[in-house]
Amino acid sequence: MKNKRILLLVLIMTAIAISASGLAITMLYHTAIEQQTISLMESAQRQVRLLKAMSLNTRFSAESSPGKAFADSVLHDREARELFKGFGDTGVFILAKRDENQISFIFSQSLPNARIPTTLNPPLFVPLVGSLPMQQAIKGNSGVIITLDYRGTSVLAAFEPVADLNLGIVAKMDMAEIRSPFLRAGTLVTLTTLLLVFFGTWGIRRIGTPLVSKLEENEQHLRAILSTAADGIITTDDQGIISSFNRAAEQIFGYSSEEAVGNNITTLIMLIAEPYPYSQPSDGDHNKKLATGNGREVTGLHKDGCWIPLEITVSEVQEKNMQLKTCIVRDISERKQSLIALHQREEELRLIFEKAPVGIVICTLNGDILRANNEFCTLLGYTQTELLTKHYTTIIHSGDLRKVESHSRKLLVCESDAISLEVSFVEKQGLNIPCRLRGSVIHDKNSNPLLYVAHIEDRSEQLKTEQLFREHDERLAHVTRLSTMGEMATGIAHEINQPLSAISTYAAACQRLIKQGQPVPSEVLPTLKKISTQALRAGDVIRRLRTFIRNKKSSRLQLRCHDLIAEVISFAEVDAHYHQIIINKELEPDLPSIYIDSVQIQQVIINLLRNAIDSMEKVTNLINKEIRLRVKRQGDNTIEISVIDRGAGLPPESAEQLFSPFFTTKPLGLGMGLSISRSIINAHGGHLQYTSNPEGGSVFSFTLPIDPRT
Amino acid sequence: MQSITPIVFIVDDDEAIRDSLGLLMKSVDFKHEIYHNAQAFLDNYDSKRTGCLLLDIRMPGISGLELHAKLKEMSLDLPIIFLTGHGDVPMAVDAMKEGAIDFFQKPFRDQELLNRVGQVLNQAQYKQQQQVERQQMLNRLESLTTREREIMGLIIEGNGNKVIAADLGISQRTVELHRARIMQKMNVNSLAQLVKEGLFLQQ
Repeated sequence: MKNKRILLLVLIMTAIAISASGLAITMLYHTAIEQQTISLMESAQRQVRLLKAMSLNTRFSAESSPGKAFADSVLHDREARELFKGFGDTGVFILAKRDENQISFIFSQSLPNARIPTTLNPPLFVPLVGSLPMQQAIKGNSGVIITLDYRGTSVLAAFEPVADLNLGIVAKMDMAEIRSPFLRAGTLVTLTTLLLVFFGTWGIRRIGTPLVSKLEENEQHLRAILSTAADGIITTDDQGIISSFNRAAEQIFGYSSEEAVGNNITTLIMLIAEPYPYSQPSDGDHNKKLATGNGREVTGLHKDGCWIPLEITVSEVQEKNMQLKTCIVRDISERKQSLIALHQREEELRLIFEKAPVGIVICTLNGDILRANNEFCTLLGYTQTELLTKHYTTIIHSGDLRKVESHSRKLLVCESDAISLEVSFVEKQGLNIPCRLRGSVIHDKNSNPLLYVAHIEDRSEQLKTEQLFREHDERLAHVTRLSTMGEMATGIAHEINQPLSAISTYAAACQRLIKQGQPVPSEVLPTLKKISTQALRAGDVIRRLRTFIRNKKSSRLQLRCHDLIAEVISFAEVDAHYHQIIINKELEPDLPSIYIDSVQIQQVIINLLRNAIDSMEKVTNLINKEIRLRVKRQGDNTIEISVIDRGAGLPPESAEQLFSPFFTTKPLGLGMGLSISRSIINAHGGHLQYTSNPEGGSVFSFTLPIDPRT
Repeated sequence: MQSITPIVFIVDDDEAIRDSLGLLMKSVDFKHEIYHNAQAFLDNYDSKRTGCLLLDIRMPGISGLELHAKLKEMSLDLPIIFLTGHGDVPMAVDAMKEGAIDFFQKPFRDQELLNRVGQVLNQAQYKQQQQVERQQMLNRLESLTTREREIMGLIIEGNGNKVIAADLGISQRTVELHRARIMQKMNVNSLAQLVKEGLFLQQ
């Protein structure tokens, strides 16, 4: 492209140079021809005059011999001409005589190296062809003509008649001779021009190209910068008429460069002097003139009508007598959005902190309260300002301080990520508020602890509810126990009846022995002892019964497995015995202690045994009427207690809802037994489950954690 | 001759009950034996011994009712008095239908129980007496010759000596001799006595 242009330039320059010199040469040439024509004319006329003079001269002598006069004239003429030299290289005089209709050339004089014979005797007759000037001369015309001579060479010929002698003279000269200096000059000029042009071009190229390419490069850079600039760059005149509008500006405003250029920037873009979006622009609010300044935040109007937050830098450039403005416009939507989002986030976080339904406190590592949210202030009855002057030790119950400190230490040494503990806070009036405190530590970038953050949840209500639930559960368990007792009533009555019968019988026997008048103290005394034993036995049954059905608060204590089982069996056997069922206990040796509510666990076991008894009652002709009560260790931390019966078992569909409340297979059952049992076991950290006994019947097993202190 | 003193067999799984019952029986001089369950009783029981079975109705293993059934199965005719807890009355009624003598609900009045046991023992004694007598009679009957037994049958049917003699084709004198021998062997003094014994044996 660049080369082409240079080439074109060179060509034009060459053409101009050549045509200028050509014109000059042509004009010179024409002048030369004119001069030559004049000179030839003059030469010819001179010759004519000469001939005329000579003929006059010779006419005297020619009186005697006219032929001789002619011959003499010619001779003289020839002689004269031989003396006359310097008529160019090709200049020739031709003398011809008219013979009738023919032209007879008398002689022709030329340079010595001319091939034309100088003497023609007799005169040579030649056809008219190639002798046009001579013909004219013979005809009596005079003039100059450019024509072809007999050689076919282009010549300039001046012809002049010698009227008296009937002769014609032609002075001719080869055009080539006239042209040759001009041709030479032309060639020289052309060559010189070409040479100059060549060197000139070379020089221009040599010097100009780097400059041009430098300029082009700069311009390209500028253009590239303009078009690829991330910022919109708009130039306007001092009236605001847009003169350039780069690609980024197109993207920002939605107008194409063509649409934008020529319009007033304020009408097209409507820059609002207020930063977006704190004041939504209204009609006529936009400024008409762009004030200069750096990095102002303004609001722009996109082609599609939406407002864009912009950052604009306007600078003025004085160019000649015009004042230009350059606007650098940056779309800061994203920055704005993220700023807004950040603000929102901050606001959200603040609101979350403030409005959180749990108390949140931020403390320094020293325990000074830095921030506390509304909930926490409300909880403790302090105002925010009051709280911020406090140390955490003043708002936590003194009995809990040690616990809090030890937990905080764990957080600091990264022993745990978060702590959760029950703490009593002291509110402004001095009342204790049971709370759940969840704490963690905020670290800086280098993992150094910075602050404590604590979530405090008021547990009063929850504790009350829990208490209610517990009481409710206890009541329910109690009712269930009563119900179980109801089911066992006959067996218990039987069991009390037995010692009573024995007592009555013993007493009767003693009476008889004494009445018979032969009291045998050896017989009576031991019997009396037996009576008291039996009374105690009956009392024992009643005591167990009372313990079992007493509505007492749940309390746990450490108990040996064997003791638990012995107690349970002594009670459950009452019932089993009545139903003629044997309870076989299978206890692993060295069973550990457990930490339980004895009555509740007894209730569970008795409930399971009762179910087993009922289930076995349903089966007629049962040979092996025994229930196995198996206690064994399961893993390191639990024991498993299983009640294995050979009863009717359960259909699979019942097994599903076995533990649901009010599910019962007994006509008079409450349906609470297993439900309560499960919740008792769960409360003890164990698990109660049912499996079917492969030998027929059911297996109910539950686990209990081993007392960790043993 | 074996002892005919009937025995009170006490079977109860409750030690105090059986011990006190034993003492009660002892206080009235009833001979008694104590078993702690049905199986122990069965293992030791001799069918020739009679008396009264004081049986607890509810026992693990073989229950009172089951023992009753077993005894019936073995055709042992031991009178049974059931001892029941309260609430077992329907069971006791069933037992009565099955042939038990009586049932007592614990705790029972000692006198009533002793009276009933006494009765049963008396009956048992009487029955055993009869048994013994019958055995004696059978022994006597067996001491008769075939001819004598034939003649005794005819006598019991009320035939006179003449008729017997005619029937058997022997002399009247011979019949009288046989008759005297029969009376002597059967240890009876009158015809009426002989007839009574004969009928008793035919039962």
